[in-house]
Parts: sequence; structure tokens; C-alpha cells
Amino acid sequence: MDFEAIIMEGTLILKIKGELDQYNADRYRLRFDMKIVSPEVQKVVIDISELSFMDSSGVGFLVGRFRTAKAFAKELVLVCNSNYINKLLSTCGIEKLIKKYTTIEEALS
Amino acid sequence: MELKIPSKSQNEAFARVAVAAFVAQLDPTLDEVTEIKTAVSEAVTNSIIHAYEDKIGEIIIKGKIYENYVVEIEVIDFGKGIEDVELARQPLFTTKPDQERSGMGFTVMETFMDKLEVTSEVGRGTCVRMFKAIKKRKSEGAEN
Repeated sequence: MDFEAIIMEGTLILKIKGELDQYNADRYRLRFDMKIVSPEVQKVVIDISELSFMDSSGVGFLVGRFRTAKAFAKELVLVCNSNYINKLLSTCGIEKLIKKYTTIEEALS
Repeated sequence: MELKIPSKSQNEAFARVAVAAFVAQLDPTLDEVTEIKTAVSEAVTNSIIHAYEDKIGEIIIKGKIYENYVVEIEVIDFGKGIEDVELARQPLFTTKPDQERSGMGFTVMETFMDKLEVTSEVGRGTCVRMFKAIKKRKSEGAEN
């Protein structure tokens, strides 16, 4: 797993690539939280469109980052246009908790 | 097919890829492969996180292919076992809410596979058996 972080006008965009499983969740948890809690960030967009694999540990990771953002009164949304990951997210009921968009542009507007 | 791995989380990716390569001989769709990989990942994660917790144990992954294009995958560990399998299979049930566990592992396995059997004995270990029918694709001649 790898990720890119960009801050644009107070919005942190985290684009994740590769495989989000238990192993990578443990490796990236703290690094993501450090960026999310940064004072210049007001809103967080996590783009998971380019993940090649995710399981329920990945879902737990995303919910964890959502909770970090919420604890610091920041909004966190997801961008995903992968059918397989959308099926996983809806199986886990994550859509009731975290807003999801199909493109970055929609998430930013 | 039989594979033996130590219960380290960096082995999850290897376990998924090995099972995907095994299933590839049935010419599955990308979605079918990804769903099997996800189910395997869930079962292996359970063995690492819950069965062996802080120690490293052995995980055995077995694969079988039946004549009617049905794949059977077994994930076996010799860890602490599950006290109440019915309860553990409930969506959102987790014994480790503090560790960002979603409690959806068994639900994901059930959703992505056709059939799931879980047998467990406290102190002895757990065996997860999963079945999925691979849809027979039209022959290439018929498609063209």
C-alpha cells in the first residue's frame, strides 16, 4: 500500500493505492491520523478508487480515521468508484456512517 | 492444494495470492477471484488476530476443486478457538472493539462465498470451510 497526501484550501486529500488489509492498516494508522489532526486541515477526503484490494480490516481502518476526524470536529468523506469495494462497504454498512462520492470533484464541492 | 504459513499479518497478502493462483485454473472472472481473496483474507486475519493473538502459530490453508466448478477453501488454525460460533458470526460482533475491528469478517465471508461452515473448539482451534461455485463461462467460440 502507498498513499499521496495533498492539502488544498484546508482540505486534505488522501489517495490510497494498493492493498488495504490488516497488515497495512497497522502500518498506516498513525501516519494518517497525524495528517488528519493537523490544524490546517478542516476537511478530509479519502480516495480509495485505486485500491486493488480491501477487506473488513480496511473498513475498520476507514471507520477509525472517520472517528479521528470527528473527534477533532472535521468532516471526512470517501471517494470510490470500484464496484467490488462498494459491495464490501455496503455489506459492512459503512455508507450509513460515512458519505461517499464517485469522484474527487463531487467530494470537494 | 495445501499451504502452511506462520500467523503473521504480512503473510495475508501471500495467502490471498496463492489461493487466487489455485482458483485461476477454473478461469474465474476478476470479481469471483477478488471475492474469494477477500474471504480468505478475512479468515486468515481472524486466525492471526483472534486465534493466536500475541503469539505466532500455524495456519493451514487447503483448496479443493470439485467437478461442478465448485471451489472449497479451508482455513485452519490451532489457536484459542471460538466459545460461541453463532454469536461470533453475527454482524458487528467483535471481542476487540478497541482495535478498530469492524466485526464484519464472517459476514463478508458469507456474502462473498456461497456457503460457510465454521467449526471450533475452545483451546483446540478453528476450521472455516468456504465454498463458491465458479460460473462456467461461454466458450470463446460462442462469444466471438
